[in-house]
Amino acid sequence: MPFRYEERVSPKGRPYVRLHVSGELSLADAHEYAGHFRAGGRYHGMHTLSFVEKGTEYGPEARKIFLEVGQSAPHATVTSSALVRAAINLMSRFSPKTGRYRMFATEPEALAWLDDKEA
Amino acid sequence: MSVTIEAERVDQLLRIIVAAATGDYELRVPLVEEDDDEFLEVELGVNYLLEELSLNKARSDSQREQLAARADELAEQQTELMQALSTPVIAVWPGVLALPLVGRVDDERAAMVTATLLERVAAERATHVILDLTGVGAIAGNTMPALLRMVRAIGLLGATCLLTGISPAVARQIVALGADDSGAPVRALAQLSDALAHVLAQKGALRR
Repeated sequence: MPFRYEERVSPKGRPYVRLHVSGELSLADAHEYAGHFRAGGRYHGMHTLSFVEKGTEYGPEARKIFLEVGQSAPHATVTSSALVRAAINLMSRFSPKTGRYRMFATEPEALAWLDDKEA
Repeated sequence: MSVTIEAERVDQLLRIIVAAATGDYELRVPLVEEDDDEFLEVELGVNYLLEELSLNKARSDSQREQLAARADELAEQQTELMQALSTPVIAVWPGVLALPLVGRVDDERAAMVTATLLERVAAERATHVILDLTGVGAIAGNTMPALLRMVRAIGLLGATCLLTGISPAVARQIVALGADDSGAPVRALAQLSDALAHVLAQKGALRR
């Protein structure tokens, strides 16, 4: 499964979703993600910290779904991959800038940013 | 913002764009993690665009195939309908079939009429077939022999073929072909009703 979800609590006591992403993301995977994060979904409105592995690819049909979902709460992504960063940057260009999304190179800085962000 | 890009990457990108411009959407810009710069986003963007074009082309091809299949299906249905309409064989009495032909008769239609009629004669063990030519404007030059062969084939199945509604032009064609000499005796009556009366009288005589 390309997504692995864990519910955790931040150092400042804020509950957040820790999401691990890897592999090739298909339309079905995107729908699964959307189901969790759209209104009515289990993680809707929750802070999210995602780790996107090197080699993760967003399929053309999946990309459209990710663009539609948007961010209902602050979301920090940690990745060491230049390609993943480029892919997310590209997709972000089509989404409205809400200040709720940022990419980081390391987990501590991502978690610190997330912890300071109000929903 | 200023980015220094190796000429090879630019060339590669341009080659792929040119290929796409000629309709080839299958090539992709090779991407490597080490090219960690703003141009990587451009290269990836081109790949995304190509993926989208490729996906749309596949959808469009599939729709075109579906449309072509539907068109074939409709053409087949139309042919079947035309066949049914052009050979309206009617059982006017037990053992008596009537086929009113309307319009132009060419080789193809004559062959279709022959096949349909012979099948019905055999299936219904018909004793008489009335071929009404009242509505036939013209018979293609070399089609008359085919119709006369049909008359002969009906005879071989044990049924009698009667022609009605023969126009002067068709009569001349039959005479010119020497139907009687060709082994296809043609029994002709003026109207379909005459032929039916004749057949019924014959059937009545048989019963007596």
